[in-house]
Amino acid sequence: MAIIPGVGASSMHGALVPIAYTTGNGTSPVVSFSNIPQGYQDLMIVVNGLSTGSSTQPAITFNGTSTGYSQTNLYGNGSSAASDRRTSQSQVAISDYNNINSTYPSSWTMHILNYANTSTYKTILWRWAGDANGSGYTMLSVGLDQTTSAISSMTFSTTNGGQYWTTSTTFELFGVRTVNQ
Amino acid sequence: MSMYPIASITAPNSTTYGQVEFANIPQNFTHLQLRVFARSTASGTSTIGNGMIFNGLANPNTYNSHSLNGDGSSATSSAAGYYNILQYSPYLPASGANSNVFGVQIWDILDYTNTNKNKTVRCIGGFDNNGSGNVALTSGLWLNTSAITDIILNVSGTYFAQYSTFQLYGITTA
Repeated sequence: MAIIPGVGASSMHGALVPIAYTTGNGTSPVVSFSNIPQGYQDLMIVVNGLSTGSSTQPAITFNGTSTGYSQTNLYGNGSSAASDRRTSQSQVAISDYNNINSTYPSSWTMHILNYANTSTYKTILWRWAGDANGSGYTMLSVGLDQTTSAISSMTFSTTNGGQYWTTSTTFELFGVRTVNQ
Repeated sequence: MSMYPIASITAPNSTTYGQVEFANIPQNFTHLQLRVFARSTASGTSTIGNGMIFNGLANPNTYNSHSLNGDGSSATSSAAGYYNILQYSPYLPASGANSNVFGVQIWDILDYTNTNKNKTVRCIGGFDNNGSGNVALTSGLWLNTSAITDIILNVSGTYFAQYSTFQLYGITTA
């Protein structure tokens, strides 16, 4: 049993620290964050965006690796709730239903806890909002990257040939400080 | 709205922390967020998360919770009413899960210092084990109007595994 006898508010430095911001360019299927600082407890990523295509399935990979990913999804499509999963994948499908297009922006908020720990696999938790005016999905997912390496880079790709992140797509990376960071 | 770190707990091994406790929680924030990265030493592939107790009060009939869970094949909803501990939290991987797999939970405890209403919490979380795992939204109700000054998370009869971490944050508003 662990009893922490008393905790006080640390010095009032905000926990959420912006690390990087970028946008799509309309001609590339790939957006990356590299050289991610290792001094935070967690990472949080916020993406809001569109594809130049009509049915794009975006994905994320870490550290340039294309093996060892899996995920479990819980989603609603406007008429029912369901769950599914993918195993032994080359990437994590962050909106698992080919629903990203050029008209209705999707948003994702992703959390990667303990991303710099080199003794544990990496678990990614995210929400996807993909409403498409009469269709669409809302989804909560958890993904696994089977590596103990610290996450130092990540890549968002549209995966469909000829479909790119639009210039109005925004990618924000935050570090989440804990005490003494 | 800004977020500030309050306290951090990390399990140094897999035999020390059957529960973790945040005591003397500062009362000068508007909301709390608890970010959990954890694994249980229980038998089996997973355990139904961890229990939560506020202010050390495990009184009968005071905790209620709901869960919307996805296990990779179906979505199900469950409820646990009138318990002496907040029952439902997203599943954690246990000793039968693949090595190095950990679950995550993000808890939000809104208006935790308000003494005029009962307390409601919500959580998202889960784990993936490359072929098994769960992801869930949960909510909880504590039938008590006291300000929350103490939070206990436990894995009944077992331990949080080494490298499990628990981070408590305070969130301010204008």
